[in-house]
Amino acid sequence: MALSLEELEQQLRSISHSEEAIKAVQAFSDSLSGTKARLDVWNALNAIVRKPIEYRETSALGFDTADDQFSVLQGDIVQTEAAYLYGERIAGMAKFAVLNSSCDLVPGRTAHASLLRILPIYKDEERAKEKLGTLLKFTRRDSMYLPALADDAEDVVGNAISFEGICQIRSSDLFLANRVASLSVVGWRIFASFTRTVLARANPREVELRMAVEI
Amino acid sequence: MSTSLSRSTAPVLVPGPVWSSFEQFRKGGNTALEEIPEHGVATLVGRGTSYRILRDADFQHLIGLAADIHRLQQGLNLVTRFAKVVAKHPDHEHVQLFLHSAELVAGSPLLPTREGHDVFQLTPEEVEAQAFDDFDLDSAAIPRPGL
Repeated sequence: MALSLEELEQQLRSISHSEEAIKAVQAFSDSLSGTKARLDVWNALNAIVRKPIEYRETSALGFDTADDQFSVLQGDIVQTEAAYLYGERIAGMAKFAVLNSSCDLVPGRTAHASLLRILPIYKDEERAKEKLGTLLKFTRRDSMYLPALADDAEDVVGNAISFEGICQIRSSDLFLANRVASLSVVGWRIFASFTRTVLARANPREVELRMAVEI
Repeated sequence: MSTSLSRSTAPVLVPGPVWSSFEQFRKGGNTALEEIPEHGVATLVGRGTSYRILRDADFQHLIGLAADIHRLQQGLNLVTRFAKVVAKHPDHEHVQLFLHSAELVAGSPLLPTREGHDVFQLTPEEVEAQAFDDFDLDSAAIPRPGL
C-alpha cells in the first residue's frame, strides 16, 4: 500500500493510463494472416457479438436476485430514434452501442445514458475495402470493428463503433430501444479496452509535462 | 448525414387487423402478424384490456417524437417561469427578457434532426497502409454472425 501521494502516483502509473489491453487486441488481430482470416475469426457468432442476452435466460441460470435484473447491458447494440448529438435528434433507426456500465443501467438509477454511434460501411462507398482492412487490425483508437449484423442492409460489409462524439438518451427511452445484439464476453472485454483507452490515454510527453509543472 | 430542420413528420398510423381474442391471434400465428401493414396498428382484445401491436420502427419513431416533446416542454417551462418573474417585477428589463425567452421558443418550433450517422473516414496514411492488402471485396462472401 502506498504511504504517500508520491508512492500512490508511482503505483498508478502503470495501470491508470495503460494501453496494454488495446495492444493485446491489436497483436492478436495482427497474428491472423490477412483480411479474410480476420473476417472469419471476428465475424463468427460469439466472437464479438451474440444474440441479445435476456434476463429470462440469465435468471434461469441462477442470476435471479434483485441486483441481477436488467433491460439493457453495456455494449448492447440498439436501435432508437430518441438519442441526441449536439442537440440534434438522430432519426432513421440508426444503431448505437451502449457506453454505460451495466450496473448504471438499472431503472431508477440514472436519468440519462450515453450511446456511441455505429457507422455502417457500405460495399460501394469510397475506400470500403481499406476501411474494413483498417478496422479489422484494431489500429484505430477511436473506432472498434463490429461485424455486419443480421438485420443490416445487404450492402453493409462491416460497422465501426465510433468512440468520438458521445450521444445522450433518457434512460427510460433506452429501455424501450430495439436490442439488436449483445457483445460476447470477448467483445465486451475489447469494448471496455477501447473505452478505457479513449477516456484515459496518456502519451509520455504529457506525463513529462505534468511532472514538470509540479516540481 | 446532414442536419435538417424540416418539420417532424407526424406519425401517420393506419388501422391494422383486429383480433377479438388471444386464441384468435394465436391461431393466426406469424401470418397474423404479417397482416399488419407498414405503419399499421393492430388491436388485440384481451380480457378487460385491449392491446395495440405495431412494428418496432414505428414504435421507435413515436418514442423519438415523445423525446422531442419533452424537450419542447422544457422550453415552455422556462417561458412560464420567466412570466412569473415578470409578474412580480414588471419593469422594462424583465419584460424584455421575457419577450426574448418567448421568442427563443417560438422561433424554433422545428427541432433539428439528422438522418443516421456520418460516414467512417480514413486518414491518407491508413489508406496507404492498406495498399498491399490483396483482399477482394467485390468477390468476397462476408460472413455475418447468425444471431
